[in-house]
Amino acid sequence: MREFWKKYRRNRGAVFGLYVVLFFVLMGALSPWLAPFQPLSIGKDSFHPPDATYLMGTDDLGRDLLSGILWGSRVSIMVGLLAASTSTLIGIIVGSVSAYYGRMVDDLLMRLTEFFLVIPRFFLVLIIVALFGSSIWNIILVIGILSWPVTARLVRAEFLSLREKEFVEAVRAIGASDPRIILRHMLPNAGPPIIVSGSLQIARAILMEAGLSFLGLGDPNQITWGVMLYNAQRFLRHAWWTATFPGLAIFFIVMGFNLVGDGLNDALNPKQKGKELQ
Amino acid sequence: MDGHSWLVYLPRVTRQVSSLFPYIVRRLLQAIPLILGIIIVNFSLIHLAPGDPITTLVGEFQASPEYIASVKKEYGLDQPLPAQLLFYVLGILKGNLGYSFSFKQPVLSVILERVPATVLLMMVAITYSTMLGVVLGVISSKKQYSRTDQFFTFLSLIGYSLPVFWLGQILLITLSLKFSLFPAQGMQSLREPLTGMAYGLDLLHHLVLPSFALGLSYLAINTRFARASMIEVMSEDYIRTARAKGVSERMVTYKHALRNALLPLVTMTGLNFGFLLTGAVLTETVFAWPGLGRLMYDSIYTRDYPVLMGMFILTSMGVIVANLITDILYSVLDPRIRIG
Repeated sequence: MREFWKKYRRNRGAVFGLYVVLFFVLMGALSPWLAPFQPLSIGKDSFHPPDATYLMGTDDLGRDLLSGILWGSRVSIMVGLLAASTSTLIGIIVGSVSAYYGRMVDDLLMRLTEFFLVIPRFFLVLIIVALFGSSIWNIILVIGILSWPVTARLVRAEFLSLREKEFVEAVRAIGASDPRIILRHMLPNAGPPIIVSGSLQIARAILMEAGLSFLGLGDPNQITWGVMLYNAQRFLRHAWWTATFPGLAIFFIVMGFNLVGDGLNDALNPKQKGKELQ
Repeated sequence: MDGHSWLVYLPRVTRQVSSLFPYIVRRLLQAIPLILGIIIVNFSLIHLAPGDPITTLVGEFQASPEYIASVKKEYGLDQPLPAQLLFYVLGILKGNLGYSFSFKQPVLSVILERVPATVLLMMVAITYSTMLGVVLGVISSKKQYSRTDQFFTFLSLIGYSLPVFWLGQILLITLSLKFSLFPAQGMQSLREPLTGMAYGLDLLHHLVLPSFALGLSYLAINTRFARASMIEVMSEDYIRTARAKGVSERMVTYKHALRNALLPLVTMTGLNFGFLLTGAVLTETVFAWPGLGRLMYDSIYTRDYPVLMGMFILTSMGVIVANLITDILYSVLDPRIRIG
């Protein structure tokens, strides 16, 4: 762990990214105490420009933007973490099964992976959410379920090289079962690239939720930054602040996770340093 | 090069094209299961969605009983599922994507009408982001780890962390609403109908902000990609050989290295086509650009499911075709690929 932190710290951008992410996590965790107003409660002052009372101004219904942004970081982080874990989990299962069993299974699963890699994911997510309802849980699930192909390919590639290693041969010779070999012996060794791609998936999931919300498919019962931008679109002419601050929040949190992903990559896969990640 | 020297290449080109043919056929055949898969995904959604499949096929509108009966007949809804699937696949292959209630038109023509505007926007964005991305990437790679390199790396990081629609909103608030440098909405000025040159210039003026916003994240990706690709190629043996022969550094960079370094960029463009379409949809919503994005936004609002599903089918096919074209282009540029 010490060793890891020493390597991670060398990338200054990554350290900055980590601070940004921690900042948003804290904001989300402390939002009930930090937020000056109830984020969804309608106030008298609509379109109040930013000043000492409303640091980021208010929207068309007089709701305080700062409070919305504080609460919104909960939703964004939750969407990012849950959707990325879902997709990583599916990716690990598909990728490891595909590489471990090879042949027909591999062929079949890889064709499926390619299929989901090729189709325009956002459009499919959008239809499903439109048809099945735009609760935040639906959105998380759909993004998670449709974002696994990149991880699956990555895990498969790792497993293919691990499969030939002597230690795997050795555990198999002792008579370990397939799931045990996969879970206990191969997966831990494939960990670093999975962690890296997971952190980048978080950034992607957050962007995707924001995009969906911006098109009017956000969860109406949640305060999310994407929904705030959706509302702002109609009032760009009168109230610049309604768009500026929620967008800044999305930008920083996405950048934070991207930087952390880069930093993890440098620290965990030194061989791959500087290489493009999918 | 004199006027006729290109004739020298003719035999080679013919040979290339004829050896290309089996490859193209093979790639076309590979696209068939993909297209079928997309249609099946759509079909499953119609039946899995909560409520009656008829709602999904018509959209949330008050349709007359006669109309509903005709839709039921068209899709064979009174028949078993496999037969329905057959009806559905055959219908789509014939170009029947359903009927849009809010536009009072077949879905196919509603969508096709809007394709040119989106394609225009995407082409401008792809062109500038690829060209500029290569330039910045090459500069970065030549001065690896220098100040300039770090600066471009930093800019790319910003570029691909920006939500494209928010970037659009900010450009709109500042450059068009505050400073009135660019038009805020649409594709052309509505006040006076323009023709000829003036029309073209007006269109360009409207194009600047949306295409810039759309292309920026691709500029970032292309810069990083071109940089990585150049660095990799520059360390190869044949580059050392060229240098050893005494070829100038300029020639080595631009003639020997760049051509090979750019090859993967072609594939990248194909793979990114879907993401670019997504970006276009979001950007168009901000600038009221009359393309697919606007249509999508309106159809979400009116719950016009046939249009949404038709868009998924057509954009998927667009992505498949784009990948096909880039693969073929790649195999023309790099003959090694055809053997594999």
